[in-house]
Amino acid sequence: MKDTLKKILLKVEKPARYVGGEFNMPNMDKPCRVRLCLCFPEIYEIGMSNIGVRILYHMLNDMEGIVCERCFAPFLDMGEQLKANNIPLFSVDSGKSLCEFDIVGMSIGYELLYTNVLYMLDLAGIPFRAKDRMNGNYPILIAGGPCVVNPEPFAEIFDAILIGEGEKNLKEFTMLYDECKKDGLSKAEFLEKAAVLDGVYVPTKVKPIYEDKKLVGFSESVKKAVVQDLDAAYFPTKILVPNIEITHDRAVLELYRGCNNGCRFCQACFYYRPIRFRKKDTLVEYGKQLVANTGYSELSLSSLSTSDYYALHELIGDLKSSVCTGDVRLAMPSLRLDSYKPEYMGSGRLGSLTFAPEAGTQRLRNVINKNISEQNIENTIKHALECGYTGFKLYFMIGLPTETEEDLQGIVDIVLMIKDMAKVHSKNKRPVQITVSTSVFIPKPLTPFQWERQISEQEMLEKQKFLIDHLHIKNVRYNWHGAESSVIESVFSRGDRRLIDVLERAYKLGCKFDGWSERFDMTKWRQAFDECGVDMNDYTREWKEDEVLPWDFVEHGVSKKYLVNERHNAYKAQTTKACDKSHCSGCGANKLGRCY
Amino acid sequence: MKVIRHIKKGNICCVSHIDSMRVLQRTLIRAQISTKMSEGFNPHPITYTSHPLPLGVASEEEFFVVANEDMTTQQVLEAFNNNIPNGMEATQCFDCIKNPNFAKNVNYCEYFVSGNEFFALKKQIEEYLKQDSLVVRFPFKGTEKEQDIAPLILDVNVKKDGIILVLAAGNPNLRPDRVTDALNEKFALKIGANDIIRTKQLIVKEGKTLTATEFLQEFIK
Repeated sequence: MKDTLKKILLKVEKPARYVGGEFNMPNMDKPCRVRLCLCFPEIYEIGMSNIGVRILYHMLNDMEGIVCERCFAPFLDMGEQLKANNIPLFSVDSGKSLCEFDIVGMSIGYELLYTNVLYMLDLAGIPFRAKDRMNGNYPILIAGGPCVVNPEPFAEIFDAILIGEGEKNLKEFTMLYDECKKDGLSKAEFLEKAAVLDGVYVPTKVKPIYEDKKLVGFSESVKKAVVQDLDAAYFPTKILVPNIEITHDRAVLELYRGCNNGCRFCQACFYYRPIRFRKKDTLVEYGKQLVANTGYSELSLSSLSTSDYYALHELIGDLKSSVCTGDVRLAMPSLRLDSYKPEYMGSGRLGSLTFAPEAGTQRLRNVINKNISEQNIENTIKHALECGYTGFKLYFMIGLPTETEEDLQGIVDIVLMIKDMAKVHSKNKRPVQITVSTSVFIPKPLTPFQWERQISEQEMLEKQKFLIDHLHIKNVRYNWHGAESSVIESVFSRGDRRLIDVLERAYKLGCKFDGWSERFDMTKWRQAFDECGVDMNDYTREWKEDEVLPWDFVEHGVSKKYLVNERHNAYKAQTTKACDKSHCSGCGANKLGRCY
Repeated sequence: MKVIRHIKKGNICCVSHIDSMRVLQRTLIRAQISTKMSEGFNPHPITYTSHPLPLGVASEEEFFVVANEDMTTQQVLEAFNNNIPNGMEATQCFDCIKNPNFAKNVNYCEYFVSGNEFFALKKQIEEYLKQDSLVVRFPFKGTEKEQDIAPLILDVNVKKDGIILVLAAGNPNLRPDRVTDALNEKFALKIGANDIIRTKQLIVKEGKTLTATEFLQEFIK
């Protein structure tokens, strides 16, 4: 390590964020033809908790001739030091600057990370827009992650955007690059070839067509990449063990992808379809290896709805008997209310129980297709109280389509019901603590609610105030997600290419780490929108069903017709039955791969 | 009881004492070095370490004590080294009758501050650090605190390639970086914590100064 870097590391908080050296680090000195750097535009503790980054990092390093390193957004103190000392942003594995890599990939988890992408590029000395990097020795810049459902707001930054599952498209992209590099092909020639791969979107190839400033179509379409056999797909068990505590500091098993419930606000549910499972025995074996290879004393299960894993009961039994014995704890994620069973409790001490009813009344839960009843809620709370739980975390959304004050009152009623039940059923002497968290509904692309308007900031504040006033109850805590940042999330989630100017302007005005409420500055964002002449309301208004949407060029499998139909059902408060082996709701995802 | 003597060098010096403890505990689980567990709400392996090392400072000699009785010292050494991140490898393992309690018994630590720019200032540095009183100011929980470090400096010896410092450890304690900060201020030097390495832990017993390894002899089975 360079001496200057050594010195600055001791001036910043948690220098271990920047030096790597974790146990199970792959061999970075092996002979290599292609060197990638996977970046996560958040700090180390958050980036290292991301299971996607973990899978892809190890998958690439297990490939012959490929070395993959990591880079995370340096926190502000480190960013300042890097700039002051003229040190370009570097990877944590070997300390190489980003420009020394063949490919630099950004995993973009959610909209408030967009400014951090620019922050990292700025620190690395890489021009923001792909067109400004054509003549220079810059790495190929690619993006992936959940935000690529609608890649348009950041399309002009990247040379290619990988839509779908990295085990397929990132692997094929890297292998193709390896071949093209051997053949001495130029960057443009390589991108031309890469554009034909499944799930590879080269923004210079797909042109949005505008008529009178109105989007009317695209020159080409891109098909999402899907892993056909998830059980056989790569899953690392010899994973990095960070030397400092990270946000999710535990071993994680990914049970399945996709979700059969079809909640109408949920993007992940539709984006990760088709529904594909890992076999129970495969998971138990992975669990054993993970615990042995890492020394973690906590194993958790990850998926969009763990309750719907086809063999959850057996899996928990097997994990408890063969992996989570002695000092190793099984940590259960939040479960769907109607599926909760006392035996699903994680081993070890009783923490608090997390549930997401999402809406306060049965009518609104039907609108959003959250198929749980009042009775389910009551039964689950009763069981949990009898088991000795004294903490409940409840997640709701405000601003859902058709929401009224009655639905907000419903949230308060659920809390009061739990308090009443606690008096009768609680086995524990400690008072029951209830934490209610609300987030603001954001109309996300690829959901039946993608055309909906987002409520105004004023409405958000009024709804939050209603809950603040009504949840002023002893042992009840109310947390809410910022109204202003929800607007920015909404704008960028349904944004188009016009937003790149706003993004760049906002970054130049000082916006970064927008996901941190104390760092988010709406005044700067408003200034950026004003200066670029872009109206936020264009993106938060209700859209017509026949409008061409910025992400319509991506073939996600799930059809627009299905989404429209679901939207109409929502307005009739009609639910749609969850898919299972014998019932298909006909969303269209199985065109890309087989469900179940 | 196994006493593992290990180093802390390279990038892992950027890992704080508390995080290093977690690294060591996870190493035990991976290495399958069985350890007696605490009996609290969150049971954890019973282990002991020597004095915390300031962030950035390297060490030739750290001790990690593990309540293990069912493995030989060789087995522990091998398993530990196969499972520890780079830079914290064990150099020796001793089988002891009980915990030597380094945290309580160590009185002084010897540090080496590397650099060849100090020799020209040998006389001034030695005189400066050997004064009867040397009050330094340092930031402490958002405020500034004063400490007279002179009584806590046992020895200073400026060599061609660096400075050997022997400083009080335990209670009272003197961090080596506090001494180097004073030198930086006085002589306009640029010593960082990463230039410092702890070379020895010393124990005063019945008027005699023992190295940690000498002190350990009476505990060895």
